[in-house]
Amino acid sequence: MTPAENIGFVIGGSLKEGLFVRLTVPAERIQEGAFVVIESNGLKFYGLVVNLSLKSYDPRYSQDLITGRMSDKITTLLHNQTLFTEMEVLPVLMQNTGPELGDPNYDPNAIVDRSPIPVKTLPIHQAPVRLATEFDVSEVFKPKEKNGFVIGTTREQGHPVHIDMDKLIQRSSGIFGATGTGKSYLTRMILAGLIQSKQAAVLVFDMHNEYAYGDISPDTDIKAPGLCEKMKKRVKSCALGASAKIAGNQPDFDLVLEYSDILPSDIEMLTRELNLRETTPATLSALVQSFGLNKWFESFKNLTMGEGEGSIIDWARNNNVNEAAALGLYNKLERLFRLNYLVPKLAGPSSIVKIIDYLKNGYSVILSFGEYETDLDYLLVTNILTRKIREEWERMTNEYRNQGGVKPTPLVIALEEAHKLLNREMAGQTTFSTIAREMRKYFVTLLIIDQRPSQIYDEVMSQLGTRISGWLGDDEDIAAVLSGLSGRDSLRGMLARLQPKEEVLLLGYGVPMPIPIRSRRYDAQFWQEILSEDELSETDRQKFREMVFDDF
Amino acid sequence: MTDTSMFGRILSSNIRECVVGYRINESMIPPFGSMVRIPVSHAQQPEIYGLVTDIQIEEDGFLRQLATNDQVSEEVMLDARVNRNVPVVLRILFIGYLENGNISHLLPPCPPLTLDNIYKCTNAEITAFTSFGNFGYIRHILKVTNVPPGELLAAHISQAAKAQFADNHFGWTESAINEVIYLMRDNYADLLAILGAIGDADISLDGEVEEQE
Repeated sequence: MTPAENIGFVIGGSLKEGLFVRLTVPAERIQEGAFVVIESNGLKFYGLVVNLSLKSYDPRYSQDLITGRMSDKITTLLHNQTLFTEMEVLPVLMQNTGPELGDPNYDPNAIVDRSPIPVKTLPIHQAPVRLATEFDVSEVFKPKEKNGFVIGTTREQGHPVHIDMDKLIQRSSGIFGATGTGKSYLTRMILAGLIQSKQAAVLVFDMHNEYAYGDISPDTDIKAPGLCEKMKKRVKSCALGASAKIAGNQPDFDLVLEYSDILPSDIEMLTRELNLRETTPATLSALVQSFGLNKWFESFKNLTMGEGEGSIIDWARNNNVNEAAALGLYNKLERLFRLNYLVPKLAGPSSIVKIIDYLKNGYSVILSFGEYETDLDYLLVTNILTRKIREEWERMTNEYRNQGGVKPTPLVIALEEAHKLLNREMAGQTTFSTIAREMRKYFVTLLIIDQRPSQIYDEVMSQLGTRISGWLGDDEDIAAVLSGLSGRDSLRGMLARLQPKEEVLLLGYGVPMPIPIRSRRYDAQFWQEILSEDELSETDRQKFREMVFDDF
Repeated sequence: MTDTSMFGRILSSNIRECVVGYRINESMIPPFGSMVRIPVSHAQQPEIYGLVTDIQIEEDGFLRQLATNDQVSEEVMLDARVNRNVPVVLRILFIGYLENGNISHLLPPCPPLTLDNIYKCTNAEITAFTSFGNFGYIRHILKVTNVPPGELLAAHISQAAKAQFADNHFGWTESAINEVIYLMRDNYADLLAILGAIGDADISLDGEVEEQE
C-alpha cells in the first residue's frame, strides 16, 4: 500500500474550535465534508473538513494584483508561499495505533485497543494531514460483525462507507431530504439491505405505492424495481381495501379492517382531519359506555337520523349527551362509514393478524394505500395497525423476558410523510411517538422518511438515533435534523451545501462519525450486489442482463 | 583556478567585508555581484568567498587636469585609464568560506590579511558553493547596506544560474528565489523590490539569462 499524500499540516486549534490546517495542495482538491486523517505520536485522528478559508501571509499579497509586474513564474513562486488555504477540521474520533514496527517502543506482545473512540486530545503542531484511505474508511465505518451495508462512497475518492445495520435498528432512525433528492430510492436501498441482512422484519407504510412494485423514475423515465419484485421470498405486498391492486399488480393479500378495530382514540386522533369539536371525547366516551369498546362504532353507524327509537337523538337523550354534539359527530364520522376497507365483520381471518404473523416470522410487509391516498386513510390505518403491533410486541417481549420464550423479531416500521403523524399536535395521540420514545426495548423502531423534519415533534426528533439526510433548503429543517448532535454548527453548512441529488449526510448512532457521502445508485448493479447468489434465479440473471436502468 | 584570474589585493578588511585594490586593465574587472575568493595565505586562514558589492573608480590629481582640456587624445585617455596611480577599488561582501574542504555559509572566523590576493570564482566553485546547504549565504546578501540588496541578488542569481545550468542543475534558480521569498515575506515592500530586480535581470527559471530583445 503506498502512503497517502499529505495535504497539509496542523497549525493550531482546540477541542472546542476544531483544528486549523494549512493546506499544501490547491484548495480545489479539497471539499467541505472531506474525511481526513491526522497521525500524531501513535494516535490517528479522524475528522471532517468543515470550512476552508483563503488566507495570506500579509493582506497586501492578496489585495495587490501583481500579475504583469513580474514574470508569471516568479509570480507563481511568490503566490505559492504567501497565499494559502486554511482548512478547519472537526476532529471526531481518535484511535490508538501504538508504536510502528521499528520504533524502539514497539512491543510485539503489547495489546493495543485500536477501536476508534471520541476525540479527547489533540495532535501536535505541524502533524501531517491527509485524506482518508480506503483502509481508514473501513477502520471507522465497517462493522466488525459483518452487519455493515455499503450505503455509498466518500465523495473525493469513492471509498465505500458502511452503515451498521445492527445499530440502525436498535433506535429509531430518519431519512430526510427535500423533494427530488432521492429519498425514496435511498430508502429502498436501505430497506433492501436491512431485509437482506435478516436483522429485522420491516413494515412499510407505502403512501405513494412505490416500494412494492416500483415506479417510473421522474428523471429518467425508466422503471425502478420495487422490493417485492426483487425480494419476493422475504417481502409480502399488501394493499388497502378488498381486491385492491398496487400499480396494476396483484398483491399477496389485502387489508380490510373490522369496525371493532376502531377505538375512540383513533377517532380523536383525526380531530383536525375531521374537524371534530371539543365535545367529541365526551360523546365517544358515552358511546363506548352504551355499546361497549368493540361495538360502539358499528352501533353508532346503525343509529338513524330523526327522533324515533334507534335514532341518534333518542340515544343522546337517554345517555345525557348533547344532541347537537351527537348529531355533529355522526355527520363527521360519515366519511369513515363510507370507507370500503372498513367492514362490520370479516368472513375470514383478520388481515391485521396476518400482517402481524408475517412480521413475527421475519417477513417484511409493504402496505400500499392504493387508491386511498388521503391523509384520513393514512392516519387512521397506520395508527390502528401500529397500535396492534405495539400491543403484540409488548406481549411477546414481556413473555420473552419473564418466561424465557422466543425473542421477538426486531421490527422496523417505515413511515413516509412522517410529519403527518408525528407533528406537534398529533405526536401525543398516535402510537408512533410512543414507539420512537419507548419501544426500543420492545424491539420495535421507526424509520421516518420525510421532507419537512422541522414539522416533526422535537421530542420525537431527539429520539432518532441514525439520521440520513439529503439536501435541505430550509434552515428550520436543517436545524431539526441536527438537533441534539454535537458539532451541529459545523455540520449545518455541510448539509445546506450538499448536491441536490445523490449526496447525503450520515449522522448519529448508526455511524461512528458524521460524514457526507455519495449515495449508492439504485440500479441493476445494486441488486446484483445485494442479492446473494443462491437467491438469484436464472430468470433474474437474464433480467439483469437485459435491464438498463442506470441513471436514477 | 590559476593565478591569471587573480585581479587584486586586499587593502582593508573586517569580518563582514573587505576592500580590494584592483591592479589590471578594466576588461578584467569582476562585474557587480560576481563571486570571488580569497585563498588561504597561511595555515589558520580559511579560503573566503565573497560577492562584489561595489566598484569604485576614483580620480587622481592628474585626471582633473585632463578633464579641463578641450580635447584628450586616445593615447592619453588609454594611458590614464590603464596606468592609473590610484587603483580601482572593489568592495567585497563575505558570504562564506571553505575550510579543510568543507564549505560553510557562516561569516569567516577571521578576516583576510592586507595584500592577500583575490581571485574570480570559476563556474565549478560557484556551483559547489551555491549548491551547498540550503542557501544560508543569502541572508548575508539581504543584509547588505551599501547597495540595494535586490540589485545585488539579481546580479548574483544571474551569474550563479548560468553556472548551475552549465552543470545541469536546472531547479537551482527556482529554489534560490523560493528561499528569498521565504526569508523576505514578512517585508512586503522590500520583497517586491527584490523580485522586481530579479525579474528585470530576465533570469530564466531554467537557469539561463533570457535574451534581451
